Amino acid sequence: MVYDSAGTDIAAAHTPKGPALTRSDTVLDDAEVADLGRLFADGDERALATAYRHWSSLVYTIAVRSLANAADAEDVTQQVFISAWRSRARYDPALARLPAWLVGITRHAVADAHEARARVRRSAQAAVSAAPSEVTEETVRTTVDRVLIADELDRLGEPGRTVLRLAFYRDLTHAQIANELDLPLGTVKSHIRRGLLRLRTRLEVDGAHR
Amino acid sequence: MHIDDETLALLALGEDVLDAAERDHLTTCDTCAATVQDFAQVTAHARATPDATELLVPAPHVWARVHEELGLTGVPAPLEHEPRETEPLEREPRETGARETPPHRVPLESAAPGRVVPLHPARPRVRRAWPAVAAAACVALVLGVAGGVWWERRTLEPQEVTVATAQLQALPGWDGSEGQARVEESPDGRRQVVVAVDAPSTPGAFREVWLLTEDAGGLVSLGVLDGTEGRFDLPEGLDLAQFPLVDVSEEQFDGDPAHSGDSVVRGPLDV
Repeated sequence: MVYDSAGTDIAAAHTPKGPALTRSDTVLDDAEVADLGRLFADGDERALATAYRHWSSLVYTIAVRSLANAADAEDVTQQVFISAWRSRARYDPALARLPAWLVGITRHAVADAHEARARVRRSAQAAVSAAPSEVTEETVRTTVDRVLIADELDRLGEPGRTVLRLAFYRDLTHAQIANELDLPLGTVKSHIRRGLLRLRTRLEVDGAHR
Repeated sequence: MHIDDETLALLALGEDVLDAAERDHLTTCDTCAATVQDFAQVTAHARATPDATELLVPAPHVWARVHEELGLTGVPAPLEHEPRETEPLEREPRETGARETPPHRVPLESAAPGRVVPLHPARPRVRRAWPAVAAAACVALVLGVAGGVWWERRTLEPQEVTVATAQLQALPGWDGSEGQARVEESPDGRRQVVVAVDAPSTPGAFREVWLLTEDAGGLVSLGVLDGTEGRFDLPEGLDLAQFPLVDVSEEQFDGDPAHSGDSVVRGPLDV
């Protein structure tokens, strides 16, 4: 990652797409992610800002989907980035991509938030010994994986994204998709395979089951 | 001979694409079975959230709070040139099947308890507790509730009425510490919290008293506890039902106004 004197993320600025300072649609390549991770670990505040631009929506969406409360999700998002920054000395860019590390912190923050809610419920209901529904670690992991899939699907190029959307959400067969999009059968099959592989890879790289 | 990935992908999506020989192979081949399982998992995740395929963007004040709490100096506080609260971000155009979703399409199930409460104007108003703190605190909270609330009333100013009390329990790392808190209301409606803590003091550190929301998701600072007992004014309008946890933290002279995350004792007010 290279910055100009104003601290602007140059990689992002070079891609004329959307407001560069909101959620960044720029897809960083592996080398850029690695550079960013090193700068982050070194304590470069601009790396924190860039990381926030690229991955705060990921963190926030995981929190919203899991906690179903915007205020709580904002708190978790805030905590994740603060916590990540304060514990950056423990982050080893050689071991994990920065987004994977952030997702890991998010997972724990969300689980903690659920835990806190459950405890409060339990204590409030201790007298009637009600058994509140527990949100398990596993539920949080599932949410993380779903959001990662949604994000990666969003980042697929066309026509792969449309092919997969039709297969996932409209339950069309590859023959029907080929017909609808006027694409050769082989092309559709190839996009389905490549798309699923990419989604699977994203789960492996940044997901909760590493 | 393994089944090719394209066929396995279609199978995972639910298409009946295998011939008899491939079906036989799949029952005995771990490699092919694992690939199908991976693809099927991806498919299941995707299909589980059909209308949630767009990521949500946190509101601009989230970064502002991060910026403030960390005291950043190398990057600007407004991350965005202009807040785009309701306008969807410009994204690549969707071909088909996409539903446009505004970035803040979030279930707002409550008016966000534990959000901004005006306090000492010279200090940051409300800070967020860390989930780790919350989790750690919960043990104490449960103990506090289960143990019942006890308070030996000491009438410092007879005309004041005690309206709530709390027994403060030690948090992990502070075994043997304890404390009490009570809220007193004077005839003119002024409220004060009296906090007494019995805990080993640490050289080079100080104690700060806080009120937390039940889930420890929001907090207000009441001030520095000098010695073992202190009296703190409650801001007018502060709803104790919203901030029912009394918390005493150990703070370092590091210039960071946020809660250190190192709570000594904590307990719920019986409001």
